[in-house]
Amino acid sequence: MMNGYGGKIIRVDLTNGKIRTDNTPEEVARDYIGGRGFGAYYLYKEVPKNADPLGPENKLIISSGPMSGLMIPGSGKCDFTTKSPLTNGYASSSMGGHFTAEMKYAGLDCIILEGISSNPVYLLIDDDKVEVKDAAQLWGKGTIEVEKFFKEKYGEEFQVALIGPGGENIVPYACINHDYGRQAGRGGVGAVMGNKKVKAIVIHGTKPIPVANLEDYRKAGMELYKACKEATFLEEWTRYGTTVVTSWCDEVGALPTRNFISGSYENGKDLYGQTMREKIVITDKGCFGCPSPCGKYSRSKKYDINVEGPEYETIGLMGSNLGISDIEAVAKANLLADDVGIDTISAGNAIGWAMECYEKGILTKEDTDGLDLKFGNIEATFELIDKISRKEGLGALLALGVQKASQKVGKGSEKFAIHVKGMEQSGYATHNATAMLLAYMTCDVGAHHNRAWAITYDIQVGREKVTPEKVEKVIWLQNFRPMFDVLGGCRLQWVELGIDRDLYVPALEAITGIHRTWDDYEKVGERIWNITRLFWWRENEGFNREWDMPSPRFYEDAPTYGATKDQITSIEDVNLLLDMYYEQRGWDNSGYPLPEKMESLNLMEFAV
Amino acid sequence: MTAKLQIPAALMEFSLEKTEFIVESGKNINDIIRDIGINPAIIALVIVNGVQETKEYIVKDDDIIKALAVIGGG
Repeated sequence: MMNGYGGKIIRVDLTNGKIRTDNTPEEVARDYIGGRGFGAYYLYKEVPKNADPLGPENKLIISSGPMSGLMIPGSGKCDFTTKSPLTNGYASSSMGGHFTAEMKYAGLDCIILEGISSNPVYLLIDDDKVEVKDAAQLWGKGTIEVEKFFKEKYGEEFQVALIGPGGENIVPYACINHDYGRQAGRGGVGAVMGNKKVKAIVIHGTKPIPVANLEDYRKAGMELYKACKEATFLEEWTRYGTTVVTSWCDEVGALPTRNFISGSYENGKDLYGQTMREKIVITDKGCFGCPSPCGKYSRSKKYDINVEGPEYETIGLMGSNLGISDIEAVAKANLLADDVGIDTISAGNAIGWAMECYEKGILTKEDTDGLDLKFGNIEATFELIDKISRKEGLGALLALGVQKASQKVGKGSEKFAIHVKGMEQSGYATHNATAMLLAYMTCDVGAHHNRAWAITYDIQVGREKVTPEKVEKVIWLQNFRPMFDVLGGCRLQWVELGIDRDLYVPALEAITGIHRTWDDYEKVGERIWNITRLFWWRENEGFNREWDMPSPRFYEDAPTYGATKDQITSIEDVNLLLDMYYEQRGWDNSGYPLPEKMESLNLMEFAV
Repeated sequence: MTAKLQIPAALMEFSLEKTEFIVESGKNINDIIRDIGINPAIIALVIVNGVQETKEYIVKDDDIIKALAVIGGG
């Protein structure tokens, strides 16, 4: 028995329907802790070199952590890891909600999907009972309808992670949905699940989670909840959630506008969190164990819809990035994307890129299925979300992701395909925010903000500066922040409510019985960061520093309007940032971890 | 005469390890934020006595000011 863990890993081989249950290895739990750590370890160890992301050898690793399912604020995070069909590299996407708690109550630390089923199935887990069941009748249906179906069939206490038509049709940025409005959104984890012909995982458990010291755990957990409830900014954070950042991003030139041509939007006010709260928000919604619910349930009278969201990323990418200022239209785009199961960040980028192509004459009505694809066209956006999910017409091109779509179209469109390593950039324009630009360039999955978010820091210390201190800050964030994904918890209580991170240490010790300081956790974070880097090297012949370069939009195209008008980072500074980053990481000048770094992290067995 | 200013804990590295300050009334929010070593441009939301205000708001006696900066991203 391992304190803080479910204790078991189940492997489902979908090719032959065989299910195997193993004990969670103690040494893996010791060195990688859980969640994202388990995902990175099993991906590297078990998916063979050069495996096709859409072949039977690729795996989908779903993992909880030692915080998951316990009474610690934000303990509802679940991690999905795979080899990405979007980037051909490491993909790890974190999902909130209640799924991970049920995993732990069913005694599971990981669910590993292997092989490919010959027909649509779903996985039913009820404590020790695990069944692969027929899902033919559910194939082709939207996520909302199917999740309702499972809730009615098995009961509200069963939790569901599922894909929509986007995943079934293997859109490389298809997501996995849960709880009607939560997603493991990035990197195509839903495409891998769809390729394996798994429509859903339905789970319920009743087992206790062992903890090392029940009384200390209770006390430390209560301390954390007390700190959250007394936090100065709890009320404001809860009122707006992530949408509190919209107005600020607009003000400082970080709000993606018209395919990131600018970071300020002249109609931005119509999308601000305050506007949204007033116009469409009904109430707040939190994940398992959350004292500061950032989710928002909204209702659009105009479109007669209810939706969870939109949150900031969707507002940025499906709103300002498409020149759309109607928050109700963004809410509808959010619902459509959730229902078909595609990532709103990548889809918003793909549609934004297509709109820019259209306005520049690179794509014409002949290419757009007759759509007048100017920025601001709401109906065309709705139609394209559906077409992408079915890979129909222009949707088939956009479903490739912006890197491959722009390579296919050419005509200079590659220069405004906004991505790093093939993953579309999330919602922060980085024309003049060098730490944030570096965070995107070096993020372990592609251009995603989750690992290191540094725009506030950029502006505080001088946004155009390129200094070793900035690089050090990005590396620290990359080592530390993802530890919440390793632990199976949410970082937002620490980062937005300002909860002292040292309050987590006694709670984790009481749960696991293992004394670790944050230095110890950060060391694990650094080990995982280096493994994922080695995975990119192993899987991609010719991988080098070019893969870390940002879109030329952020070193060639200074915005012509907005808060960052005429501001841009030079290519020399982009390269200087990378040079300093590699040096501080202990990597060579092509971005490969040096032997001494691997030795210090006990990673020689992972050398490529 | 004075008012109270509160900032997020994550900004303490720039503000002498403090999150609460007694500030002079009569100045605007931009100035009092700048006075404690913070670039006012990083402040995303200002709430004074429970009501949202702009950074140009002139601080009055006994005001309780919350200046929120986003640290984690969406």
